[in-house]
Amino acid sequence: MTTIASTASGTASASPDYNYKVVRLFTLATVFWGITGFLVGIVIAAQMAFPDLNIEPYLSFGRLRPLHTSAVIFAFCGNGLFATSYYVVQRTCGVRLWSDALSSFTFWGYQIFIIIAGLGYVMGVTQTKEYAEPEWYADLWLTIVWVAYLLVYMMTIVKRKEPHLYVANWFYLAFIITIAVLHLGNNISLPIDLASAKSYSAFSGVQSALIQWWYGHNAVGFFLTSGFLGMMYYFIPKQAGRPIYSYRLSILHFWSLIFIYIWAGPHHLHYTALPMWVQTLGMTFSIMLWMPSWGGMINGLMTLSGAWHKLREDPILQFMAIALAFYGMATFEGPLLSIRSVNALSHYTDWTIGHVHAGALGWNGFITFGALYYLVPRLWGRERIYSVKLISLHLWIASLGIVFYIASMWVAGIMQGLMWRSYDDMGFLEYSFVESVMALKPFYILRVTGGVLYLSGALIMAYNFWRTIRGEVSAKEQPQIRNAQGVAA
Amino acid sequence: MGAILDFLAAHAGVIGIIFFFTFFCLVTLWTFRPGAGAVYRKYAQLPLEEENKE
Repeated sequence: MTTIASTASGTASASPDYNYKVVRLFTLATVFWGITGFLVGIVIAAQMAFPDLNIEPYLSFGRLRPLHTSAVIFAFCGNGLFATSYYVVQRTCGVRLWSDALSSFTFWGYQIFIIIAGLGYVMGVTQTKEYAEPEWYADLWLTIVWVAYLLVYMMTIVKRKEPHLYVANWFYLAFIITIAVLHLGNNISLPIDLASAKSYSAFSGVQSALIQWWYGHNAVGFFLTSGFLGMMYYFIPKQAGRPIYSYRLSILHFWSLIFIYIWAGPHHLHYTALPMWVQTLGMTFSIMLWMPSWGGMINGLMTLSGAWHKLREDPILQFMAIALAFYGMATFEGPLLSIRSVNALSHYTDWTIGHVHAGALGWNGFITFGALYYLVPRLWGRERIYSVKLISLHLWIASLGIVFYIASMWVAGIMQGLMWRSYDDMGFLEYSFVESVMALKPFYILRVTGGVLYLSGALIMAYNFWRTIRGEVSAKEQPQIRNAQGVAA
Repeated sequence: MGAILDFLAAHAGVIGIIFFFTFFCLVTLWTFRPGAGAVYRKYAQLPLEEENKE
């Protein structure tokens, strides 16, 4: 049985067949890009509160904002997905990752993509599609890397020794394939010249908007949900030492999630030129998403039933359980915001920003932190993590950071929406736009505080990993853990 | 051939939803087929058992 801090000792050395080298590289990249992305987030949050911090032109909000979103989504979450998918597919298939050379190429190729894209943003190169800002040359490069990723993953599955393909791999595979389709579909464009960074989309007008949000929402659905559910279905049972609550439910969760998610995009385009029936379709499917999302959350949480005592003492499991709670909360709030009349109040306000951060910081961040704490000692063949107390400290600092963030954005967003729509007796708007901006300032400062707390937690994690990788164990924790192990064993 | 394509194009939405809904229902029925419980309990153990195999 695995206890809080100790891992099955010698796991890494007992399984020399697995390719842990590439998983280690992706793990380190996840930590590095996480810290970078959180830091840029704090900078742009501070720019909203204090506009003087905009340093034109390179470090203005407009250029740093895509740098933040890409750094956290594609660099932090993306590397986390690479690391965990490569680990999980090897462990559950019982074979070494297919092709060392190609898997190593996916690592370096992906980091090069991140750097090309990031430098482009700062230089003002963008195709102005949200979450798909990189221009055509970066998109082509990413396509090559992604095909290599699919090949490595598929070939590992083809060569597997285990007859059944464990459900976590289904979610990872849906993520890899769908992201390929979305990336290719949304980025069809023509460069004005082969020597130019500038290109124009093949689509225009409302078609362009619909394709962009078909892409944009499914980036959330398949990058930030399906892939991370793959993580959830492997790491929660491992850390809890219990099988998933219902394997049947996981199958229904999978098929219903992937069938429904792909239709939800139009809810980003309520009250636009998009035909009303398409808006209604997007809204309907978004509401239907409640069912698979909550089914998955319940499946994850109920895995702990009969092992609730572990949740009391294991901060890694606490990370995972809080992640699921935020997954449930964000997937409740999402359908709510997709209802056209609610969207009339929330759209273009900070409520949306709060919503995505409940998902990103709470769900994606916490499940990744949980998986990383599980992985690092095993990947480097260490007995245990350097300090369990520091994991706990990270957990509570980061949780407090999220509360600051989402609570301030709820208040700010709803206030903003209400100010924009209030009329006086004469039928004139009651507030000018700048008045709503000024009213937001205290909440913007609160948000910066939340971001600083979240980043501090990540720095504590990086320190904990550094000491773990060096093979150290916190002097204060050695005797306590022996006792705990004695009890647990 | 042209008539079939015209029919498919005109009713693509309904055909799509019938296809996906039927597929989902079949998956659900398959998942709850008699005797499947033991099979799925075995599958669920997969990540926990692999540790012992090394």
